[in-house]
This record gives sequence, structure tokens and C-alpha cells, in this order.
Amino acid sequence: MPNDSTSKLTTHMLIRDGVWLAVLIAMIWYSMDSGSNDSNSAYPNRPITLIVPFGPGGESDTFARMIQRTIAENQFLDQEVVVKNVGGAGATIGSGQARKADPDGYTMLILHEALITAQVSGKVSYGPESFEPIAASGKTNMVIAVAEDSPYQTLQELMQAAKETPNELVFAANLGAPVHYAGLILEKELPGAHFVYTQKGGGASRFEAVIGGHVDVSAFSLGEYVSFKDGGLRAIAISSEVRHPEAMEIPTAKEQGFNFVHANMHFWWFPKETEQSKIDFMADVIRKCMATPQVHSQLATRLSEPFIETGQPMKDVLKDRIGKIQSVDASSPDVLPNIPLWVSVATVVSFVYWLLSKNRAADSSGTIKKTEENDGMSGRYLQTAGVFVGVTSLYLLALEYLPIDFRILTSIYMFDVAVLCYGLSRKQFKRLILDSYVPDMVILFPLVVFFVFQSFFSIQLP
Amino acid sequence: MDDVIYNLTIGDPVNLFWVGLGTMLGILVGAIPGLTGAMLIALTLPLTYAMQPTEAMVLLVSMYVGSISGGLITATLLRMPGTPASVITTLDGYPMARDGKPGRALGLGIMSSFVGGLISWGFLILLAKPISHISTELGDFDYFALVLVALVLIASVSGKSLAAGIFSGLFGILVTIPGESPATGVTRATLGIEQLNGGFDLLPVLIGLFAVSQVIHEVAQKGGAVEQVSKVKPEGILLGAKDWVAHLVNMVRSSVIGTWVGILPGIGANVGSVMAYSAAKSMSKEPEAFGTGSEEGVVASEAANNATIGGALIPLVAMGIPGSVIDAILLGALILHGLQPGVLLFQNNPDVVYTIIFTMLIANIAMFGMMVLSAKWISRLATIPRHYLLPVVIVFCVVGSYALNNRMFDVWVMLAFGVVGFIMERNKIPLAPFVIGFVLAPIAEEKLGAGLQASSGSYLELVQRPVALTFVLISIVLVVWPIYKSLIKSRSIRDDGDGQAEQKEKS
Repeated sequence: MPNDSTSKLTTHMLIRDGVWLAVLIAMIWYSMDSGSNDSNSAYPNRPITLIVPFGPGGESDTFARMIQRTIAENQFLDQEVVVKNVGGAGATIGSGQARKADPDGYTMLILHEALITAQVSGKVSYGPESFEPIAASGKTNMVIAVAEDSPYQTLQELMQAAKETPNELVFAANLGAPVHYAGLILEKELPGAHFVYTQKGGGASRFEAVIGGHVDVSAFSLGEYVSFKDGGLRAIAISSEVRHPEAMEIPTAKEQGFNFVHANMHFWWFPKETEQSKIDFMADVIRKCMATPQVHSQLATRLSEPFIETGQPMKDVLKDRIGKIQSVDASSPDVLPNIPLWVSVATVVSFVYWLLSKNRAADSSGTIKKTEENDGMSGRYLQTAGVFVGVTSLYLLALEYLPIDFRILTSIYMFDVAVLCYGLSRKQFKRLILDSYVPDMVILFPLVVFFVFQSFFSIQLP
Repeated sequence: MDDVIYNLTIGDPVNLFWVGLGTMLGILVGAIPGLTGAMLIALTLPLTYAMQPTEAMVLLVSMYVGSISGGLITATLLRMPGTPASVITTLDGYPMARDGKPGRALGLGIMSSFVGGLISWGFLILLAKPISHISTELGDFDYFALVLVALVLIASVSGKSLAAGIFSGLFGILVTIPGESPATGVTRATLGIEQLNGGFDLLPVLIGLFAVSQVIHEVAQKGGAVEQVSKVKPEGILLGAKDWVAHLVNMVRSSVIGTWVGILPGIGANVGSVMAYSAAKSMSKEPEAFGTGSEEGVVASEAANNATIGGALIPLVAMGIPGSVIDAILLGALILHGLQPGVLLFQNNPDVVYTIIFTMLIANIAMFGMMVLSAKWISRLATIPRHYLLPVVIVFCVVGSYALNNRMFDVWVMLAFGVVGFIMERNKIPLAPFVIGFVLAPIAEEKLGAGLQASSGSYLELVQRPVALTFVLISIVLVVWPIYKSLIKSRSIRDDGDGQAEQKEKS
């Protein structure tokens, strides 16, 4: 920033030099820290990206990060595993990204049955057949639960009621997701029994709906159930083969005469056509992780089992799940008004009404004259706005498709924006280069942003 | 209980250190768009394994408080909502800062954040048990009717032109249509674009609409002689007793609304500030000032979004139900540390419960102190020349939109909505109704859908349930009243012959 007083200028210069020095030292230190990687040619010789198709903090994310940490602590891999959260649309955004990744063993996906249910319910066209399964790990049983004061004491009574008055009992579900299918698979066990499914989403919302008396029944993971049960929830069946040691009081569905054996597990996937040797290698790493005492104790707090299956037995498990899920019909009667249609019509009508009222206002006052006066100004204004949007689009295209480093592209782009703001004449350009901090800023700022996001939040910038 | 306070403050400097660190990191992350409190807390969680459970909760809850508060800085000074919770603050905070009062805008925001936090904290400690059951009593139709009230308030935040406001609100609702239907989970209207399966994400749309459109506008404005805030007086950050009294009613009302919204699960801090803002406007003596730098607007938004913290902690502490995304992560933290959340948490681990509660109080005080002390320096952001500021802001917007879901699609959405916002502003279409429609419509649709699925398509419960009926009646009144008023007004304007006559009278 140009300044009149020389003393102030020198202070500014000092600060400037200080900042540069600090950043340079930090960069050197950082590059020494993470250098010397690509000398080894054996797989893996660079960090592996693990796509978690949910936001941070959820069940899948916690599980993935637990494995990531276990790998790092025990040095099961020479390389880092980088968790990348790609949430949204029932995990299909993340799974879509993993499907399109290079099958080079450096992109991995962790996703439970939602990969199957998303395909069966028609959300996306692809399913497990578009991936190479690596392993199935961590087993969590499901619990069928009702409110404490519910008239149904056993699974038998509940199912009988669902048969006698079909489509009367309400089942809180997350439509199109595994909990929904758990209900569907259960009702298939007694022909003629039908629940009504209502959209409730996550475990906490389902719990509230049950104890508030808004629905009759729902399914929970065993961990969820244990944390909710004192709030007025009563389990009537668990989906395991035998009773669970931590919850001996819950009878299995099997002993009540329903072959409802079901457990949620996390599946690990590579994109299709990844080499078999890499699949085996990674399966072995996950198997090692699941055997560590850290993982055992952490899974125990959530009442999950340190289950691990790879190779053919895992494929059998998967095939069984796919068969069961495909065997049920998840379509529900359409009771909703056609909201997209109504909203579109209303928007168009209100747009027309706005145009009319605007014209009327313009007619009555003398605004037309005013716009003519401003035409020259406004033309240049819009032109610059257009140039800015165009430059930004080019920058984004370059980020997305060109293999140039984020820092370089961002420096160039920031400089362009600064020039646009400052003015395009040669004199102004010269002043911008020689007499301002813009050059410093456009070089330093991308470095700092890159460092903060990449190293601290481990977010891979494009 | 006294022990807990003692341990949190002077007794244990380690805990005090965690409060300070957590609050500061939270404020920073809250101020930067794309980095959310949920992200920070989820990433910190694994680092707390080695800590005591109470220490871990101290750190995480402090981050929660800081992250909701930090958003107001960038929202006010740069019109860049750091978190969705602070988007409503941009509506009035930014015009205030532009008019040369960045210090006062920040001061008001900080003050009301503090008061909002305190009031909801009061609810938390006094009423956690008795009112935690409220959320389970309400059925889907009750929720739907409640959200309906807020939706029809669009008409009241429309600014000068009712037609433009209604169009803006409906347009906001229209933008929620593509993607996954909130009621059935079926994808719709994606035009075959797989990336659109998840619809338009909240943050890229809001960053585009507010920050990017502003950057476009400022870049395009040539010739150095911009609306640059030249000499900022640092005064006005610490407000006098007169200001506290003047805004007291608004602060209390907004805090109560925020707390209430916080208790309801699935509705976040952004909805709290939307509702409080609408309420403040409809009860204000100067509703026409909203959107042009109204102090009441800043106060309502910031008091309410901070009040959602205490509200959301109520069901967590009393019943083990998370009231927000961040609470769900806190719940996970409890389980990781071997504590069983639920109704018995209060009995079995009172130390942890009181740690959570009192951390919220102390983090609030820490937040207040840090923000007040630094506001003087932060408010200078508004005086930085454009050729320094704008490149930095736009790069933050790009990186922030990308970082949320790690995909370029969101960045394109951000740029597209930047252009949309630019066009809307040029045509004097207000942005506030758009935000309200965009934020609330999915919730309304989900609740209506769930209600209809359970009742097999019958709307009868909407008038049978007393809560739902009350809200439905309120929304009918709210729809009819402004239309009636605008009819009267337009008749009187026509009598005047010129709409500007009325304006002159006022000034």
C-alpha cells in the first residue's frame, strides 16, 4: 500500500519481508516433512483416497476414520489414507465419484447396503456390479422396537396385527435406505402382513416418532437402541442368529419364528477392473486392522462386532444381501400432491405478475428516461461484470480439467481479478505491479489457503 | 455443580485453555465459508481420544459456540455468509457496514449473540427436563403447520414490492425441487445430471447469491470511487446501556424463538434466524428499514442463531436426542468416551452433563470477550481496497464451496447463483424471501409427506390437532393481511398519482 510517510513505509516493508521469510521457512519445513515418497515403486507409492459418501461425523465416517487411524498408528501401509467426504443424495454422489475414478488402487469407497438399496429403489442405475468388493467389516445387528406402552409384546403379536389390519400399522423408515428394507424384508416373513412406511430419516427422529406415538414401530441398530431404550423404547426382537451377549433380554426374531437374520456391515470397494493383487493387498490391510485391540475396544462401545470377511465368503454374504433386497417391493402408494408441478406453475404466475406490476410502476413514474441516461455507464458496467464471470468460468474449467497445480492457477486468477478491480490502463497496471502488495498477495495467499485446507483439514483441493 | 464451575474456570487452567482454544478455532472456522463447525468438530473428535471425557466435551462444545458466532464477522463485513446460520445477518449487517458503521454492526451482532446464548442457556439449565418432551409431542402435521407460518412470512419480508417478494420466495422453493425428494427419497427433475441427484446444496447457493453477486457488482463498478468505507470509527463496538434497553424486547423474543427452533430436531440454526428475523420485521415499528441496514434485523438474526445452541442441547442432555448435526457428533463423542447418552446420562454422569452445560456458558463469555477485543481490528477489513479484498473473497468462495462436498459441481452452482443473485439485485428483487423459501420448503415438504404417508393421504389431522390448527389459522391471517394492506396502499398511491410522494413524506 503506497504511503506518504517514509517511516510507515519501512515498517510496511519490514512486515512484508517478515511474512515472506516466515512463509518460506514454513514451506521448506513442510516439503522436507512430506518429501521422499515416490522413490519406491511398489503399491502403494502415494496416498490412497478413501471416499466416505456421507458428511463428517456420521456412523460410516467414524468407522472409516477409525480404520484410517489404525492403519497409520500400526504402519500397516507405507502411505497415508486420506478420507474424502462426498455427501449427498443417499450416498450416491460419493459412490458415483468412486465409480468413475481410475481403477489404479488409489481410490477406495466405504459404503454399506445403501449401494444396493439405491440401485434397487431406482435412485441410480449402478450397484455392486460396478465395483470390486474388497471386504465386509464391522457387523451391527438390528432391533425391532416399539414404544414402552405399546400393546405389542412380541414380534408375533405385531406381525399378526399387521396381517389382520394390513396397511394400518405405521413403520418409521428412511425411505429407500437400509432401514426401510429391513422392514420390508421382515413383513415378507408373514405373507399378508403390510406396514405403512413413513419418512423419518435418522435414528434419533425415528426414536422420537415411536415414543411420541406418531408411529407404531421402527428398526434401530443395536447401538442406537441401547442409547435410546431408557427414553421409552422397548425391543421386541433382534436380528442376530443367537441372543446378543450385551442384550440377553432381547429375543431373536428367529426364536420367535421369523427368519429375519440381518446385520449392517460396512463394505469396502474399489472401482471396477482394479487389479486382483491390489484388492487382496488392501483386504489384508483391513483384516489386520480389524484384529487390533484398538478396533475391538472401539467397536465394543458401539455394540458392533469386529467381523471381517474377504474373498469368496464376502461375495457370498453380498450375494445373499442383494437377493434379499431385490426380492421386496419398496414402492409405496403416492399420497403426495404433485409439488414440483404446483411450485413451477406458481413461480411462473408470480413472475408474470411481477413483470406486469413492474411495467405499471415504470409507466406511472418517469423511470424510463432515467435508464436512457445511464445507458452508457450501465453498458460498461455489465461488460465488466461479464468479463469477470467469464474469467472465473475459465479459472474453474482450468481447475477441473487441466493438470496444473491449484496454487499456480489461483495466483493467475487472483491477479486477473485484481487488475480488473484496479483498472485496465497501462499506467494503472504498472502501479499495481510496482507500487502495491498485489504481487505478494497473489503468490502468498494461494499457498496459505492450500496449506490450511490440505494439511490441516486434509481436504484435497482440485 | 459448583465443582464443575470451579473446575471449568480457575480450578483447572487446562479446561480454561480448552475453552479458549475451542472458541477461537470455532470463530475462525465459522468466519471462513466452506469450513463449518460440524467439520471442525468431526475432525477434532479423533484427537480427543487421549483426553478425559469432560475435557473432550469442553473442547468440542466451545468449538460449537465459536463456530455459530464467527459467521457474523464475514457476513457483516464482506457479505460472505461464513455459515448458513449467519446468512440472515448479511441482509442488514452488510448494508450497515457499507454505510460506515461496521463497528456498530459487529457490536450489535456480538452483543445479541451473547444474549441469545445466555437466554438459551437459561432454558437449558432450568428447563431441560420439563421441556425436552415438547419435541416428541409434536407430530408431522404440527411441524408442517409451524414451518408453513414461517413460509408465509415471506410476504412480510418482501420489502417494497409484494409481487417481487412473492416471486423471489417461490423461486427459492423452485430451486429446492431438483434432487432427492425430501418426502420419498426419489430423485426428480435432475435432467439426467447425476451430480444434481443431491439437489442444490445450501451453502454454495447462499454464497453465490450473496457473496459472489456482490463481488461481481463491485468488480464491475469502475473507477476507484467505490462505496469504500473510508474512515471507520472503531467506536460503537461496546454498546451503551441505552442500546441494550432499546433492543431488549427484540433480543428476548428472538432468543426464545431460537431456543424453541433449536429444540426441534432436523431444523438448524439457519431456520432459527430466519424465523426470528421474520417475527422481528412483522412486529417492528420500521419494517421498511429491514434489508437496508436495520439494527433490529442484525439483532434478531444473531440472537436467534446463538440461541439455537442451548435449545439443541436440551434434548441431547435430557434424552440423548441430538437437536442438530453438531449435537449428533457430540453424541458420538460421548459414546466414544464410553458414556451412554440417554435419559440416564443425567443420573449416571452428572459431571459430564454439567460440564456440557457450563462450558456453553463459559464459551459464550469467552466468545464475547474475544470478539469484542478483536472487533476493532476485524472491522478494518471493510476499509481494505477492493483490489486486495475481492480476489481473496472470491478465492475463499471457490475453495469453500468446493471443500464442503469435495466436488467442482458445487463451485459451478455457486457461480451460477452468483449471476442469478446479480440479476435479481439489478431488478430489485429482494433476496430474503428467496432464502426463506429455499431453506424452509424442503422441511415443509418432508413433514407434509411423512404426515400424509402415515395418514394414508388424509389432510384431516391438519385441523384436528390443536397445535397444527393454531398454526394454520395464523398462516391464513398472515397471508390475507399483507394482501389487504397492499391493496389499500396501492389504492392510496393511485390517488396520490405518484409513488414518490409517499417516500418524500417519510424522509
